[in-house]
Amino acid sequence: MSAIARNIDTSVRKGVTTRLCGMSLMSALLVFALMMAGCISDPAITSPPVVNAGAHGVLVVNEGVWKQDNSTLTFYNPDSGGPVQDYFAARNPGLRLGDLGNSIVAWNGRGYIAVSTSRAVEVIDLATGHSLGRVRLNAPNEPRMITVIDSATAFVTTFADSVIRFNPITLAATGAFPVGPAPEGIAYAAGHLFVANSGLGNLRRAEPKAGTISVLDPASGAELMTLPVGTNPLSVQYLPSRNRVYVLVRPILPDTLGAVVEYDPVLLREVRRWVVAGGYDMAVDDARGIIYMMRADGVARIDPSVATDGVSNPVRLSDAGGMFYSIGVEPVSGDLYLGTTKGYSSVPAEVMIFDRAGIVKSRFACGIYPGDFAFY
Amino acid sequence: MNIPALHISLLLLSSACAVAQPETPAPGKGTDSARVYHAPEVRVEARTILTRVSRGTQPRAIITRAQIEAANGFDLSDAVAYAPGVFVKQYGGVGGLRTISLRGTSAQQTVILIDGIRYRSSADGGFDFSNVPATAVEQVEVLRGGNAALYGANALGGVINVVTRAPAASGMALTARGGYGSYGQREIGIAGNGAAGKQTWDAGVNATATNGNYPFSFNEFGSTSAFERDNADFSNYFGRGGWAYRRDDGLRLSASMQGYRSERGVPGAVVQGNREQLRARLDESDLFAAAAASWPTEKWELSISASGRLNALGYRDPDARIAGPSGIDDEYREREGSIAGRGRRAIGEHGVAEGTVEFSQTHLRGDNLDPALGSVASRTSLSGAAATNWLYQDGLFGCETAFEAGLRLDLFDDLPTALSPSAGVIWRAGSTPLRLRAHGGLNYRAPSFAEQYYLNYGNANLRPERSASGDLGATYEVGETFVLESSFFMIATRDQIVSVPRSPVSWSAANVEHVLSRGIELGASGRLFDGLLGLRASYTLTRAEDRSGGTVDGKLLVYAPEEVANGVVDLRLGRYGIGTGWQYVGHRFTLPANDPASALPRYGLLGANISARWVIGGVGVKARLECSNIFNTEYQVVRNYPMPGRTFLGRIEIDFHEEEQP
Repeated sequence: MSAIARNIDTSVRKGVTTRLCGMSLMSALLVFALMMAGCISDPAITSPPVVNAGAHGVLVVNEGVWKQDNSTLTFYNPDSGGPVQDYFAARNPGLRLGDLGNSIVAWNGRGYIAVSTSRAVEVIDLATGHSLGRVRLNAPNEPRMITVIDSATAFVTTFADSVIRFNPITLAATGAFPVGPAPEGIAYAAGHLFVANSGLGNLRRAEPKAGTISVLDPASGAELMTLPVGTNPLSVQYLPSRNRVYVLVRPILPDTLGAVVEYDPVLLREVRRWVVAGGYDMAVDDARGIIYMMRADGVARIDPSVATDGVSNPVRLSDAGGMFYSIGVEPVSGDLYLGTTKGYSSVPAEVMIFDRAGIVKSRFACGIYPGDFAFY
Repeated sequence: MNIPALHISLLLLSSACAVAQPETPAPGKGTDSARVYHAPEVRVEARTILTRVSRGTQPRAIITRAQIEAANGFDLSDAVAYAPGVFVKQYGGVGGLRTISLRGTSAQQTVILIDGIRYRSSADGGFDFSNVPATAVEQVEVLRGGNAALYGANALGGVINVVTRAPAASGMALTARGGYGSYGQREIGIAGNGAAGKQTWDAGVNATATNGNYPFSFNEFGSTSAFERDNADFSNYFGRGGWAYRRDDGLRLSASMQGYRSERGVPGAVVQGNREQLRARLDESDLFAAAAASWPTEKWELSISASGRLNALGYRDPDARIAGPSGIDDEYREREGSIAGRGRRAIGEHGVAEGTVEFSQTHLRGDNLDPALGSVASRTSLSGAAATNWLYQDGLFGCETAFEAGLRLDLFDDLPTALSPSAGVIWRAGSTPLRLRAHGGLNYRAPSFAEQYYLNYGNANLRPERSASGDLGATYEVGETFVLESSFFMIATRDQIVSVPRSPVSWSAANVEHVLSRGIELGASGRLFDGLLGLRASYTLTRAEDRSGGTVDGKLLVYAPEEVANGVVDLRLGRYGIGTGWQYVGHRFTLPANDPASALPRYGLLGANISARWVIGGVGVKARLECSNIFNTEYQVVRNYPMPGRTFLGRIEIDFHEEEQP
C-alpha cells in the first residue's frame, strides 16, 4: 500500500473524513468554487456607433489620463446635435488615439492631432474621420502643438526642446531644430515661426531661453532671435486680421499674474501687453479681431482695437457651474466652446457653448479632460 | 450569478454552516478547547503583539512557511496575498513595486510589524513588499480590520506582522539554498539558527536578482506585436540576525537587526508608441534594528523595547526632462526611532490589563521637499494606550464570553491629537465548535511626509484620516485541524487623503474623500489526513465606494476589486512534496467614473511545484521545481504594466541540524 493510501486509510478510520462530510464539506467546496471562478462578470464594453460625420462639425481632443492610453476624440455637429464619443475608434476599428492627446489643428480637410506621450501626430480625414496615417517621432520627442504652413511644411513643438518639421501630406519628418526649454505654442506669421519656450513653469525657469519666444526661419530652421516674454509662455496665436501674434503667459502661482503679449511679426518686437491674472488658455476670433483668455473665474475678452485695456468678462465661472479646462472659438459664429473638467476627477466631462455675450447656448458631453478644439 | 444571488448564497452559507472567525491556525493537539480562542502560545514575546491583549475578536490569518512554499512564494507579497481580504497591487514581475490593499483600503492604511515591532515609514506611509524575500519569513499574520487602539496610527485596514525565521529549539541548524529560473531569476542564501543554554540566535543572508526581461504582447497603432520588458532588472541583498536570552527567573533580552539593499529599474507604463522610464532607477538601503527586555514580577510583567530605522532612497531618471536637461536625480534619507515601555498584569484568573507609553521621532531629508522646511521634515509623537480583556465562564446557556477593550491617545508636534477606542467580544456556546465575535473601533492615519511636504504636491494643512470600523464573524472548527470562517466588515473613512488637481498644471494632496468599504470574507484552512494534506482557501467580496458626493458618488474606488479569491494546497508524501496555489482577482476600475472601458479584466493564476528531499550522511538535500502562471495567462494588475507569463524556477536546498549535546 502506498504512503498516501496508508495515510488516507488511517484518517478515515479516525473519522476525520466523516467529520468533513455534509454541510461543512459543502462549504469548503463552495469556497473553492468561488475561488476558482468568481461570480461577478467583467463589465461589458459597448462600442460607439459608427457615424458619418459629414464635412462640418467640431472635434474635441480629450486628453484622457496620463499612462492610461485613453485619449479620445468627441465629434459634435452643432446643427444636428448629439455628440459621438470616442469618434476616432468608432471610425477606425482596431485603432485608438493613444496617450495624452494634446492639441488638434484643422487644415485643408485634414485634422492633425498631437498625441504627446504616444509620440505621434495622428492625421485624419475630417469629412470621414478615417485615419490617414501618422507621424511617428523618436524618443524623447513628445509632440505638443502644431502649425501647418503649406502643403509641404508643418511644424510641431516637442518636449525634447525642439521643433520637428514634417510634410503634412506625406507625413515624413524632414528636420528637427533646437529651441528653448519645453516649447509649447507655435504659430506661423509673416514668414516667421514663433515658438513659446515655456520652461515648464517653475521647473525649468532658470534655464537659458526659458520664458522667451524663439523666432525661427521656417525654411532653414535657424533661430533668428529670441524675444523675452515672461515666465511660462504657453499659447501662441496669429490674428491675420490684425497681423499680430499673441502669446499667453500662464501664471505660476503665487508669484506671477500672467499676461497676453502682442507682437509685431514683421518687426519682431513687442507691441503691447495686457497683464490679466489667472489666464490658463487662449483662443482668437479672427473674424471679429477678439482674443479670449480662459481664467480660473471665467473668460476674459480682450479687444486689441481698443486703446484702453479693452478687457471684459463675458463669461463668469459662477454662471457656468463648472471648472474650465480649455477654450475654442467657432470661427463663423464666434461662439465660445469651453471644456470643463467636472472637478478634475478624471471623469467624462462636458463642453459648454456660449454666445459672444456670454449666454449659454448649449452643452454636450465629451471625454476626460477636453483639451483642444478643431472647427471645420 | 448576479450580485444579489451571490449575497444570498453567502448569507446562507454563513448561517447554515456557521463558518467563521479568525483564521486562527487550526487548533493543534493538546489545545485546551475551553480556551481555544486565547492567543496561541508563542516563544518570543515580541512576536505576540497581534495577540498580546487580544482575545481574537478580529479575524486573523496566519500564512505558514509551508503555505508560502506551496504557493511558490518568492517575496513577502506572495505570502500576504493568500490571506482573505488582501489585494496585492503589482507593477510588474519580480522586482516590480508591490503594495497591498486590505479590505479595500489604501496601501498606507495598513500597519506593518516586523516580529511585532512597528516598522515605520513616515516618508510615504507605504511599504514595498518586494524587498523582503520569502525565505526570510517564517510566517505572516494578517489581522483584518481597524484597531488603532492596539496598533497605533494607520491601522485602518488592518495589521500585518512578519515573523522572521525562528530560532532552533536546540543545537544548531544551517540551511543553504540556491535557485535559478526564467528571465535570469536567481537567488542564493544561507541561514542558521541555534540554541545554546539560555541563548538562542538566528542569522541569514539572501541575495536575489532577475533580469526581468519577460515578453509580452501589446497592440499599438492597429497591430499586435511581441515586446520585451526593458529596464525591469532587480537585485536585492537581504540580511538579518537575532539574539535572545532568557534567564530562569523569566528575564528575557532580545535584539535583532535586518537590512536590505536593492537596486532596480523602474520601467513605466507601456502605452501606444511609448515605453516610459526606460532608464529610471530606484536604489534603496534600509536598516532596521530592535531590542527588547522583559521581566516578570509577582503581579506584573514589565517590558521595554526600542527600535530604529535608517533608510536611504535614490531615484534617477535621466529622461525625465520635466526636471531639466539632466532629468531627475533625487535622494531621500529617513531616520526613525521609538522607545516604548509596557506593563501588563493579570486581573483575577481570567483577565489581563496592559498599559503602554511610546515615544517616537522621525526625520526625513530630501531633495524635493518644500523649501520652507529647509529640506528636512520631522515628526515627534508621544502615545499612551491602555488595553484589557477578560473572560466570563459558565455564563448564559453555559457559554463563555470574552471581552476586550482598548484606548489610545496620540500626541503629535505637527498634527491634531488622536483618540482611538476599540472594543470587541467573542462568544462560544458550551462545547460547540462555533464561535461568534464582534469588534468595533475608531482609527486614524497621520498624513505621510510625501503628502505634506513633497514639492509642488504636498499640503502642510492636511488632517489625519479618521475611520470607524466594525466586524462581525464566526468560526467553526471541523475536527481538530480544520477551521471554516466568515466575516462581515465595514470601514467608513472620512478625510481620506487623495491627489486633487488644483489647476491644469498643479496637483496637491487634500482631505476630500469619504470612503465606505464593506464586504464578506469566507475562508477555510487546516490540515487533513494526519497532516498529509494542507489546505487554505479564501474568498472576499468587497465594495469599496467613494462617498464624497458629486459625480463619482457611489462608484468603486480605483484598483479595488470586488472579488479576490485564492487557495493553497500542499501534499506531503514521504520525501516528496507537491504544492499548488491559485489566485483569482476580479475586474477593477482604473478611473473614478467606473467607465467599463477603464476596467481591467479579471484574471486567474495557477502555480505548482514539486519537491523531494533526501538525507545523505546527516545532511538534508532538497530539490524543488516551481512553475508559476502555468496557463501563461496574459494579465495586468495595474493598467499598462504587463505581468510575466509562465515562469520556472529550480531550487536546491541543503540543511544540517546539529542537536545540542547534553
